Amino acid sequence: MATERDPIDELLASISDGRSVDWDDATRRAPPTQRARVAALRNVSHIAAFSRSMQRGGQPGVSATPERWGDMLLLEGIGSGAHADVYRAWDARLQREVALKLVRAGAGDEASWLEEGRAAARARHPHVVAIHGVDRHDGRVGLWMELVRGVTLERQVQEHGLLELAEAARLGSEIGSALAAVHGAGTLHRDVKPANIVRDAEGRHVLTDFGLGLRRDEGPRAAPPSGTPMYMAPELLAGAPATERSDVYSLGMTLWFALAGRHPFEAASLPELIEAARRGPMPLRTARPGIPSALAAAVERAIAPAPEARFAGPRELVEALAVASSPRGWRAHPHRVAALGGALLAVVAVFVLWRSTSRVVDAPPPAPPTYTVEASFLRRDAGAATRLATGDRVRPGDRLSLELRTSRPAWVYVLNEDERGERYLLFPQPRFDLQNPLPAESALVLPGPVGGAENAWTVTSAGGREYFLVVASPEPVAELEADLGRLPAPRPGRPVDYARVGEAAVERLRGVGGVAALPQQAAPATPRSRAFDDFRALAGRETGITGTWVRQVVLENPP
Amino acid sequence: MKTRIGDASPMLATSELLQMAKQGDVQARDALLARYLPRLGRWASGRLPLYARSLLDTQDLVQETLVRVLQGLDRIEVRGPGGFQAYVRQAVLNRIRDQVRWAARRPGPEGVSEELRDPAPSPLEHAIGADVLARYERALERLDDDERQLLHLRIELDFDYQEIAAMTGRPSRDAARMAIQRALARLAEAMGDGD
Repeated sequence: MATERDPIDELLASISDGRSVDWDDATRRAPPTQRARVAALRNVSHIAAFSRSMQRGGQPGVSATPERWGDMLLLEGIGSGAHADVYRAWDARLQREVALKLVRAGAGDEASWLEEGRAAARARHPHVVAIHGVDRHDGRVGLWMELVRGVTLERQVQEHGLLELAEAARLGSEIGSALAAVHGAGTLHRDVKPANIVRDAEGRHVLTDFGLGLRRDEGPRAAPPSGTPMYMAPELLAGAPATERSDVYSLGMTLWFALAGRHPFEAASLPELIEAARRGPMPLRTARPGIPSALAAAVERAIAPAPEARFAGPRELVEALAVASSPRGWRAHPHRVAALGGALLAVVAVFVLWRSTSRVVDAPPPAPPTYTVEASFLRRDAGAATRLATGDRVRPGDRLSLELRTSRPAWVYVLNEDERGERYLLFPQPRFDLQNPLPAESALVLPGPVGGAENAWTVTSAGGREYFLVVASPEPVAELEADLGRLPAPRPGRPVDYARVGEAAVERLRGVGGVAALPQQAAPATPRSRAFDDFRALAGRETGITGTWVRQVVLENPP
Repeated sequence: MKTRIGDASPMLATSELLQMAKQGDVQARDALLARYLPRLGRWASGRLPLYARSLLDTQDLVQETLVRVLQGLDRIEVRGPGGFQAYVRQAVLNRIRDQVRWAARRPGPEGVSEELRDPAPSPLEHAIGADVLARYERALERLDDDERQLLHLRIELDFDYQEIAAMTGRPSRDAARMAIQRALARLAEAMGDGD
């Protein structure tokens, strides 16, 4: 293992480099003699963040916009819609930059907007913009949220052309699972479209703009006015209420746009658009020959003019996309398989938004960066930890953790297969304090604390063998994120729910996780895992990794 | 020789530019202005309360101050590598304080008395709290000019390591990064020690 850096040095480097720091965690970990210094550094980091925010954006007070709203300092206007204006703002309470959406006076019922904001805040998902809060000040309702820096899908396609097939499938998977989380929170988005999907510098697609959402149980009468006609389901254009299926339609049309490189219809008037939407756009494979039939079929089912012919919800669309993107789904088009693998392994090109001119600059495609993973399972006894390797024994009552360090920020997943062959995600889990992406160069112990209290996985029964899969990836693994998106929202007092992992996710991992060059293992005396036994064993420290990395650990747990 | 300053070689060390500007090189003076003015303006706009901005735009305030400093270079004794930067920073802060005092004395809108007027803090005070800012400023005063310059360039003006290395005459971006981290450690020590 590498030598541990002094935590204070890490904080100094993070502030100097402009990286974010989990200050609560840093404070907790600091010895009492260092607490004052950590507190001072925390203040300096806030000054640095605010200064960066001033330097990289505009100047406050240059326009006729309100200067302040509650604890927010409005730094610059970044967008405006039919009912609201959006600002880059500084949240003095959170001490960070946020996007603040201020509803204009007279734009609908205030209570509905407040309730809408609260509902949107319940949808926590890596691909849904994080809503920090909603409130009313100075007679205006405002919703403040994570400020996602990046380019919209609309601009990306307009300036750089249509998406690679694998990239489009990933987009569908990420935004589909995001939409499932939105629906799970009891809301509908109602305005899914290319302009409301942002791709950030890490290549993550994020669903933004909740201004038009509607709580499902409120019905159409309370709906603020509609979304963008081009991406609206035909039944909405005819005056029917929004449903999960109409959100699926909008996502399907968005995927059509991403794959074909242009808007699906040309219509000079609303009646023309309604007629065009009733007929549906041209076949996707006519607009772009070479799209695998399974992928085209998934998108076209999502945009079927009749709601009952569509997927019932976004999860079903995500599953269809996962099947379409799996090696089996692409087998009919062998010339595309290389493109899929390449796209999965490469780190996506980074787009830099130059705030002073609002130009988007396409960075040169980087060589796939490599990274290092150090990972070991630990058995935690009182005050001591024993490192475990494949073949070591565990017993009921043993408390297990995963010690992990990656040299670049990574999405990390830990899967466990139970005695019935069911797979579960042990990490991440919505209630854990540690969430993906995990920071680089930090010695982390998973699962980490829950609500500040240390936590470990406990072996509950004797079952022959315990199979674990550890996954690290420079970007979210869409299939696992989709599995996570199915979890019910965490509630205080409710036991920890682990997401069940579907077949598609393991299938996808098998494609990237080192099926080749398996080390010889002794023939198992007990029944083997049905899912994990093709993966290479965890070897502690590995360097030169590009893309997704998957390793397994098998611990003996004899009856 | 009137030399090579301009777009092609924008990253001469500040000390070199200063030397040339002192000898009357107008291009060197302009290069210094171009280097600092936009960022100083944005930095200052975080320090100036909104109510104090009405007559003099922040950018004008900073430009006027910077030009005055550059015009009087031959009368200023700048000690050490970070002296100029520290001097300019202090000059702009003094000018802001003057502006705030002036704004506080002038009659309020629609006859509002001074006591009733909103004692609005600057954006930075609002963002991080006046007491934290005061502690930060006091700690900065306890650092040497070079440390103060490094923190000003990185933390406040958001120059990147390569630029800071060139401006402060350091051999590499890593050297600049390490020096900034050392200065940050000293700052934290000074802030953590209290007053």
